[in-house]
Amino acid sequence: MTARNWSLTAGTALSLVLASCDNTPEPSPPQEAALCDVQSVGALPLGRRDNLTLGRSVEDLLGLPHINISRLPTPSTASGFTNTRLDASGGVSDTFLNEWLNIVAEASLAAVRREERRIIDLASLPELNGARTTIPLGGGRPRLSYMHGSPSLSFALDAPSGGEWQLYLEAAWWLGWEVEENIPDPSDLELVVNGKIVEKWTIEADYDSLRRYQAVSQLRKGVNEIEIVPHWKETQLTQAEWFSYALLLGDLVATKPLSEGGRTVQIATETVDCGPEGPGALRDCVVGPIERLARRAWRSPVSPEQLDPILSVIESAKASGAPIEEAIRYGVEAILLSPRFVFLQTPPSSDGLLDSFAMADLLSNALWRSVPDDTLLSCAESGGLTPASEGSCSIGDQVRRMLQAPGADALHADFVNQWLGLWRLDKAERDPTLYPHFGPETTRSMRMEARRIVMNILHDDRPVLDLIDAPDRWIDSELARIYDASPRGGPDELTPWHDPAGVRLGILTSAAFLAATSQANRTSPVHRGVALLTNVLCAPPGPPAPDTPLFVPDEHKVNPLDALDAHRADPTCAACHQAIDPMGVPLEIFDAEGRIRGEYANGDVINTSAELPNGTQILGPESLVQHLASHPDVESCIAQRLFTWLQGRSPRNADNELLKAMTNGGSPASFGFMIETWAQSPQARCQVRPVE
Amino acid sequence: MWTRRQLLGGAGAALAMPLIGRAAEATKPPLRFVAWFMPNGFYRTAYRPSTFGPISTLPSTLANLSPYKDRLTFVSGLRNAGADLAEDAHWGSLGAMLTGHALEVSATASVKNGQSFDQVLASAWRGLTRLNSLELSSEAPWPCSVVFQPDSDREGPLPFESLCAYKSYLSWDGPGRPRPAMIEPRAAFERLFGRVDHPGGDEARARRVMLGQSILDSVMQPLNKWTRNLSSHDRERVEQYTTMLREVEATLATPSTCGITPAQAPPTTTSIETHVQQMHALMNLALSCDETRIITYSIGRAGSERPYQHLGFSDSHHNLSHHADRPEHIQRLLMIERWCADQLSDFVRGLDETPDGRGGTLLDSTLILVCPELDDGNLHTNQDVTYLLIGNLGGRIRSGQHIPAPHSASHTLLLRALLRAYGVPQDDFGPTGTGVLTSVLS
Repeated sequence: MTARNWSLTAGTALSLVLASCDNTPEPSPPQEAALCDVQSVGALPLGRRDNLTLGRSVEDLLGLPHINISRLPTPSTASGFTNTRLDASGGVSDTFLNEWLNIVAEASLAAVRREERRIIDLASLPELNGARTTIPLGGGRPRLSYMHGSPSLSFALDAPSGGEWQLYLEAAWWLGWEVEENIPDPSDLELVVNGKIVEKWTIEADYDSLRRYQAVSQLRKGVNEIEIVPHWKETQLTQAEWFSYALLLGDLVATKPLSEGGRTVQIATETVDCGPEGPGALRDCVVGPIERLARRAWRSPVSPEQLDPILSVIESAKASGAPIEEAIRYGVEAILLSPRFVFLQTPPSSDGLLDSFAMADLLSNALWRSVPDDTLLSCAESGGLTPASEGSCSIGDQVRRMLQAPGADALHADFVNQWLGLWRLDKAERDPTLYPHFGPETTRSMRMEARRIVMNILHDDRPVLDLIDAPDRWIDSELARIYDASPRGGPDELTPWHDPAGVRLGILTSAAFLAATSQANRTSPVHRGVALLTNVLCAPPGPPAPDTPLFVPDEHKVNPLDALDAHRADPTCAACHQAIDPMGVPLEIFDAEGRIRGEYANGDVINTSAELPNGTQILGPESLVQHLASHPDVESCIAQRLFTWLQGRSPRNADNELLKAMTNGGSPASFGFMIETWAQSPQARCQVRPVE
Repeated sequence: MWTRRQLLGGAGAALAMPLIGRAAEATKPPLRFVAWFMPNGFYRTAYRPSTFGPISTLPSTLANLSPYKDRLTFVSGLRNAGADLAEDAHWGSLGAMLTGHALEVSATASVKNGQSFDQVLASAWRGLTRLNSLELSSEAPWPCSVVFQPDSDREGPLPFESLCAYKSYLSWDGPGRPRPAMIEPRAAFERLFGRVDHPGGDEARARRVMLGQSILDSVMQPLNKWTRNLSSHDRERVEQYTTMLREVEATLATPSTCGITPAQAPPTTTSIETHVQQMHALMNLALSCDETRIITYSIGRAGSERPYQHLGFSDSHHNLSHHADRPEHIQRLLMIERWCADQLSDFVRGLDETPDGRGGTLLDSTLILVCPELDDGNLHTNQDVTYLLIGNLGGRIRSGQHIPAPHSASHTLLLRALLRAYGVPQDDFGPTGTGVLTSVLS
């Protein structure tokens, strides 16, 4: 398969969709109205945005690094995706609101301070000097992994004012399991500002999170040269140790307290000087930043009538004795507590077609799981993002831009996680007597690799079917153990790898998928088979008959495959199992953490050949992967799942035309092609409201 | 390990205080309700007494409840109506446990279910305690992953999509509005007794409380323009959101007066053993501090596949429940059930050791309804369930008995009887019929 230029072909697909909706040759406004008559568009009840989207939106809106959303209850879902809106509460409950109030209070506290702030994400520096960016263990934005022996790291910090600043660096070092105990801590770090050493830190080990290392330095107004200089301790490292011996760096944060009793405040990403106190002075200085925050948070223009009450709250808080920054926080809280922030849907215009702002909302929500950025909002303001829009504010151009932006990590962070049920790894346990090396770091490595597989296919615009059979893999020390590769990499340290035996192809032979479909003490060929039929072929088997005893073999006593054969001998069971088993049995060569094994606990050699209902022989994992990669239903199944994730509901008959267009009529389609085709479709652009 | 006992040691005698307050002042003695959900059900012969009538010896799983034998009522023979809705009983049992509603999929894309038993009580007792009810669980619900062929033209959800909600929630506010449980003991503690640190300090906290409702007003009042284009159904959702937000804000503004300090919060844990114990300790605290009188708790989620590794084996609970009569599987299943029942017994003992300020103990005014997900996990059946009632509400319930119910009648007969016992009669509770299982009432 080869990469294709989907930006050209997407246009063709769009005309197909349009043609199928309306046969008039010339586009015209009445046709737009007709576009939204498409039966499939349907109505979705209003509901709140899912936890992930709320967290990412607050982070982006307020310029904060990490919002903890783990206590928000997960709303019940439709179609296996959390962004679908279904349960009648719209996902809102006491439990949710209680936590949401807490999150909003803490985020506002962090975002509005009487200090100036500059945050430099080291992982996004243009010149990394040999260091690598990696996806962090617990998910989230990339970090910098700084290998032993790497030279210093230089970058510029643009300070809004001169004087004494407080700086801190987020850092930790980590030793993989290959490293001998007598090897010294990897380094001290020096912080050099404008050529002068200002601090020397001894970095500690931390396996859970980065720690903060503080310093104080004079900065000049404008550009300052910052250098982080490692002093690597002399040590002899084997190659394996070198890979497991890294410094992880997060953000460099510079803050400067604004003068005591002064009236300069940092509001999210803006620094505001409120000048001398006086009637209306506070209102005058915060109206701009508050209006901009509200506009982005609510994804629509904000009228003075909507803004006034918020400004009044800020003023009355100040009047009741609150310091200025505390008063402003209450305004930020109000913006975040509004249903216009929490709920998903902006009402469309009267003809059912989403207007420019609603389109910006839809795209940022679907592609980034966040609020729109300034570019999208200015497109919306200038009336862009409509079918008639051309140039940089056309839907196509914006979708392409968005897919290359950092926010597009939603696709690998969230879509693939939900599509393949990798959330099962969250609190996965393994029997320590059978899997002594298995721990939380194992599942984190597994998920990182799964994300990386998807990320590269997305970024390089390769066909989505590469998910099934591409040989590219990324491993760290944990995965090297599981894949029986030569050890490399520390945690977070994914390096490219190809399986020389050619067995590990695509995401379905990844440790993440194999472990997510296993249990604490055994694999489940049935579970794996059902997962493939359901998520990869979109042909889920029916539920077991009511009185069917569950198939639970005891691997220590019997060969599970013999037991499965016996199970299939019963005609009631065979109806489903003749389709399920040949999908799961070839993967039995992989144990419950995804390692290759030769035999079962009872000593039997594992026979991974199986026969499909149509007589096709599947002779092990490679053969299964080949079968799926050439199966006509796999690409359209991925399109269905992607559609559900983007649209917030499962497809219906009337969506078949769009699904066909998303798969590019049989030619290989990429994620970019599929997503752009969707974004141009009536399904995305029309939101017909329920009839009163 | 964080336990209520340890906490009592730290908090001194403060615990007796609140009961002398609100609860003791009321003219009628306060009553309390706890629903206790057991995933995958119980192995029958170790849980259901072998004969009807007065209870002689307790079945082995419940052995630790022996001291309270006279205050137990077993009710056998009823059918959980929710089990009718799906080929797989796991899908319907939890959602119908306290509502009696079988699944109904409407054409307007909403999940139908009735108000649950606990919320009927919560409505009747509204405002008596700081929290009207508390929903807890020791395991998060399944994220549903079900995929569909695009072969349907129907508007609204397909049956399985609604089933996801049924499989996830025990407590329901009203038609179609589930109340998700809190999963983190620490989060539940903070909800009851406040946060360890209020961001911004005490003065800021006081101002925040004072301004709370005007902060909400500032964004809720100008919503009219925004909601104009919404359907009446969607507008209703926005109204529900704003009403609930105001209520929760008000709860946060009124702190607990129980004398438990935020510093006593339970430490975060990854051990299921500790988690379950912390949740039971919190339930005791919530009741003894009279922060709420209604709790629903699930020791695991519906169809739980959790391994109980501290018992020395790692098989999934659900798998073991499909034991296919293999003795070694039954033995392990019974170990899990016994462990869970022992946690329940400890909770009951805790209630019985807590004075209620009226010369009795909390157990005198509390009813615990033990809710098994299935009557037979191996066969996935739900036609002949044994419900266990613990505590007789000061004699309102006929206890010390194993009571037969009309075979395969809906379990709403029992729930209606319990509503009568609580003095909140609602003989039309549930979707159909008006029968009441009066034989459980004294």
